[in-house]
Amino acid sequence: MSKVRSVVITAIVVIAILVAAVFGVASFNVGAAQRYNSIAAEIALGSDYTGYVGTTIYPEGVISQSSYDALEEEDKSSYQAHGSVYVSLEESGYETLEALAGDVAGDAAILAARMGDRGLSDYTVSVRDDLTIAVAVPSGFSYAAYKGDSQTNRSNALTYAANTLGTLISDGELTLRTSDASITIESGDDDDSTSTTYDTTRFEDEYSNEDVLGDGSVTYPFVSANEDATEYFSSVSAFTFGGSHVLSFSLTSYGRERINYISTLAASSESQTIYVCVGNVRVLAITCTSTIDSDVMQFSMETQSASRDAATLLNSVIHGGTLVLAYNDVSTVAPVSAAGGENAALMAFIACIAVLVALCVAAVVKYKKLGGVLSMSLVILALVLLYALFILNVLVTLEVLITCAAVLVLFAAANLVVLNEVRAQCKTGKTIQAAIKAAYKRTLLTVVDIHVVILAAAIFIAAIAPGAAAGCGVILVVGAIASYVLYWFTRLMWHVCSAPARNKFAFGGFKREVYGDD
Amino acid sequence: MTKILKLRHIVLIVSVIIMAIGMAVGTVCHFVSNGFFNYGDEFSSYKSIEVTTSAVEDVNGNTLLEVANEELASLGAYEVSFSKSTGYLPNTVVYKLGTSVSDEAIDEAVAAVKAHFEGAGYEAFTVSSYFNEAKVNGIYVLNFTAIALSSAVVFQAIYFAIRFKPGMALAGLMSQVAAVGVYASLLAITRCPVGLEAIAFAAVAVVLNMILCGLFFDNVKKSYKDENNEKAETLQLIAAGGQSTAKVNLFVCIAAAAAAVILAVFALIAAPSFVTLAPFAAFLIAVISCAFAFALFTPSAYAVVSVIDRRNIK
Repeated sequence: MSKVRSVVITAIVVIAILVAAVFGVASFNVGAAQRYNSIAAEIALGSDYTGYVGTTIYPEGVISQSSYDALEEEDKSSYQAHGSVYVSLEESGYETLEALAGDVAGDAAILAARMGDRGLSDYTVSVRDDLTIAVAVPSGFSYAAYKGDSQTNRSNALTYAANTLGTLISDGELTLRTSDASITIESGDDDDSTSTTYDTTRFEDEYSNEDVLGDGSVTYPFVSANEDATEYFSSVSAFTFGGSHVLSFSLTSYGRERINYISTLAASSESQTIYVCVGNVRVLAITCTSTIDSDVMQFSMETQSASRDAATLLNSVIHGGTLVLAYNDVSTVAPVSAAGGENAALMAFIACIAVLVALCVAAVVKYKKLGGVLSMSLVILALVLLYALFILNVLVTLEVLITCAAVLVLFAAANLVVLNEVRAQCKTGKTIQAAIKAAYKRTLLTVVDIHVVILAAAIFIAAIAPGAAAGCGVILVVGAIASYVLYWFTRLMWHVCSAPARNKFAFGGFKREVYGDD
Repeated sequence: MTKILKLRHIVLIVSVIIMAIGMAVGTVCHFVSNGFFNYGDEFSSYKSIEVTTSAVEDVNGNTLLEVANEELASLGAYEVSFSKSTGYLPNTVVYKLGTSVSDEAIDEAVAAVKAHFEGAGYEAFTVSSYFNEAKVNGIYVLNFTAIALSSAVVFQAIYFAIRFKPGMALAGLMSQVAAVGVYASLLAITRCPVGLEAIAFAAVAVVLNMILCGLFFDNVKKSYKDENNEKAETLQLIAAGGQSTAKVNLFVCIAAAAAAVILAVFALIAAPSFVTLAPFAAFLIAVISCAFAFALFTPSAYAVVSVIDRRNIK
């Protein structure tokens, strides 16, 4: 390769890295009113860095101190103090506090499972004073939102977090509902289907008078009293494809039959809508203009967060995770600041830069020019991880940051294996180009081993582990793939950079004597 | 390395002893202290006092912090968090206390805070104390991460058995068990606070150890294949394999530990408290466990089980 071509390729790569780095880490004002927030500033941060959004839910019959203070004197008599809350066994319908506390604990376990299934990298579910449940999810602010540079992002993050909380703590059973009182349905029960026709108005259930639609209107169940709507579905999942956020229902054979029947009724009704509800929370409104006859139903939702919240809740309810108690609605969700301090995110970012710089400097000091090539790859890998965190919407926690650092270290280690081999090959008398070629050949299987093991382990961790460990798994998957690609990119750049080397017998500060036959 | 391999049985015994000590310390602490590990919020119950003031009466929350510090500091909180008022939400300070703090002491402190604010003419303030049970998700996360790691380790064993030798697969499996065992034992012995991040770090340690084992076995396999080594002793070949990977393996552990130290220093600048250091301490312990597993345990374990592979080769 000619020296000119080598310089041109190197320059193009360096410029590309610089451009990616500038957009990745530099925020700046555009004009007088607008601001460009860097990729780093737009990454969603975990509770370590921006805190939680949380609330405390009270089951029926349990109230807070402030609610108790607001009661009339005669109403206070049925309540007894228990820790910081007041409880009325009469209102709760329980005979003993222990029984009530037992069900609260059971519901807390269900909520924890829902939060875990939702794939939140960090969340807390904790029983307080035996009778209330404190639930918190990460605020999910980006650094720009946390610092007030992006009010839209801040507002969206708070809305998503509040919606996630509101959806996941929904109590009550799964029902399919309609606002048309005139619809008559047949029971799905074989014994009754041939003999009886029911009017849905007869099945006014406990949710009929709840304001499910938010406009004060009454809704009626599509499902007759002797049916369980959870038997219609085998699972519910959410995925995003081509920018659309899809909620997908897998139906049982019985469910397909019943949905066929219900959708026929809905299509011919005035509203043409089936409301999928859990308790008094409307999860989805299905507009039916024709009969649905399929094993799978898929519906588009507005946001990824909404589709994932809905899928998690519905899956939980379908598989027996219905909350035993009824809880108060989430009226306020309160942000709690980061335990790591107000500047925790900024400091973590500076620390990450410091780690990267330290690795690059060490590589250059140890291996000179080839170390410089390795540094270039390290910077690219860091940028890939940065952009991946943004694109995959991985919530950045301390664990994720340490995993990113570990990926950088492993990439450096994989290259160290090669560099050691290059050095060894050089010592045998080969030119630097020949040594690099031989070293890559000899270490190929080793490097493949490293990446296969990381990738497989990462897939297991990302797929099975919940919480921050899952985030670590995702980053390891991205890191393993990027590291392997960059391993070959480093090889290419070595080829590009070492081609015009004046002294082709020098490597990493080591110079061998040039023999006549070279 | 050869010396270490000659003492391989002692290395294995030391590993077992470390785990035994960890088990013993953990068991004793389980009965006399706060549990097998020094659990964080995710795994243990705690008491808390929450005090709020409105932004109207206490603009920056300075009074709240002063009063809380004056009246609650003596309770020995292990974590204090403060949220400054944002719009409609009040200033909030939360003191997290161990379960050993008596209810009477908490009630007295709460009453003192109330009296302080009432005396100063504040109207919109609240003082509440709670008993918080362990976060329910702690065990959930632990269980599923354990399943994920077990699956990954089983995959590693199968991959090593196919790619390398059955003995190497067995030694790799033993090494992962040792890494996790030593990690858990060191957490129990050092009483380092264990939170959810400790679980994620266990996963990182296992993945690191997997890779380092892979490097080591790759080199040993190469030396098996080398015709020049036909007459060499197995121990020599294993030692040579360990020696040739030592530099890379040492680099990984030192670099990972250095990265953790850098992150810890900057985290301390952001929030100078002991609680801030806890997760980094857990990570350092994970790195130490990993280093012990690959540098000492894996070669020793393989030296013991290598007879399987050598028999096959012969």
